[in-house]
Amino acid sequence: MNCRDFSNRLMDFIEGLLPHHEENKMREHMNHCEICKSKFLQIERTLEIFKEDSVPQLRNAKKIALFPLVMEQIKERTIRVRKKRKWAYSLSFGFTLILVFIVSIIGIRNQRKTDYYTLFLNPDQFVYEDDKDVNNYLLKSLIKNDTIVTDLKNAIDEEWVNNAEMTILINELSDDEVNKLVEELKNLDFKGG
Amino acid sequence: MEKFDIEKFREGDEKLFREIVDMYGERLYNVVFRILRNVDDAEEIAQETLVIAFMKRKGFRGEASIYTWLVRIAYNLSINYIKKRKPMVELDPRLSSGNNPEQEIERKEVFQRIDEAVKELPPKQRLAFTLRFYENMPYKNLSKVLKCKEGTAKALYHFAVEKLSEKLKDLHSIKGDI
Repeated sequence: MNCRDFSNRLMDFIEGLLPHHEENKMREHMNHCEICKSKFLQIERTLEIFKEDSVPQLRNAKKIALFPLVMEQIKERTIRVRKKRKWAYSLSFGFTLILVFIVSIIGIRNQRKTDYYTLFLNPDQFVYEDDKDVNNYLLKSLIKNDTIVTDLKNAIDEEWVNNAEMTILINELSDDEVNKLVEELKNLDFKGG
Repeated sequence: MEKFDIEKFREGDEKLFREIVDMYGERLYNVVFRILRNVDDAEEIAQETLVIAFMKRKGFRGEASIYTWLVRIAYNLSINYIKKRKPMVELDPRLSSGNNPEQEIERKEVFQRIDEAVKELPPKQRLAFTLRFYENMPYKNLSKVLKCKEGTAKALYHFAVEKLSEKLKDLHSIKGDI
């Protein structure tokens, strides 16, 4: 056994964890190696000192009162935790409400947008919403059907016409022109925007 | 070997918890004292450990013994405490006033040197030394407390002993009972 092996096994030797034959090798090594022997003695003495290192006894009053004290603290903290949870629940409930509200608003807005695209077409009564996109579709169709007037062209150039103007323009169409327009509009993909 | 009904503990059975406090309260205090080397701190941390253990009882899965679990909590609390606390001077209750004044001075010096040497150890080594040396905890359990491999737990203990031995080598010459 060399000094390195001795050092690697020293703690196991001190703790009595080595097999008998290895313990003998350790003792043999110490017989002819003063450095390793002094290392062993130093550790052994240190551990002897620590064996005498006492812990001040837990105060009797503390020992008796430990369980009630612990339970008192647990109760206090449980109340605190419940309060915190209550707050957290209230906050999350409020947050959920706000979220639902926001989602509803977005939903309604989307719904309205869809409504814009879903035109109810009747040759006798042309019903539509005053929406820029829809109006532009209508106008493009009117142009395609050669039913435009100069004002209509101007309106497209300006990219906007209001509801009243559109109504006037449509009222000027003949029944055939309206029917043609309706058929045209039916084939248009409004949802495509 | 402890035989606690884990489910009962997890459900918050107060009678069972009282048994646990009675059985391990003082042992926890001893372990914490050996880490922190201060009576007031050790009392506070031992108490806090039991409070936390009850509050977090649902997290105990019974993979290790309740004691191992409690020591783990105590160790974590001690680490936090070491990081936060300000150094305090405490009258050493291990010193009695009835002895020979010379002996008392000698004892005081020894205790001071031991406290200093232990406090210089990294926390894991402190715990490894405490649990292995004073509680004779098997390395397998020690590795569970330290959340490391058995070999690492063993190495931590060995390092601790070697460091303490180096720090206290001149103490061997001091004579007298401590």
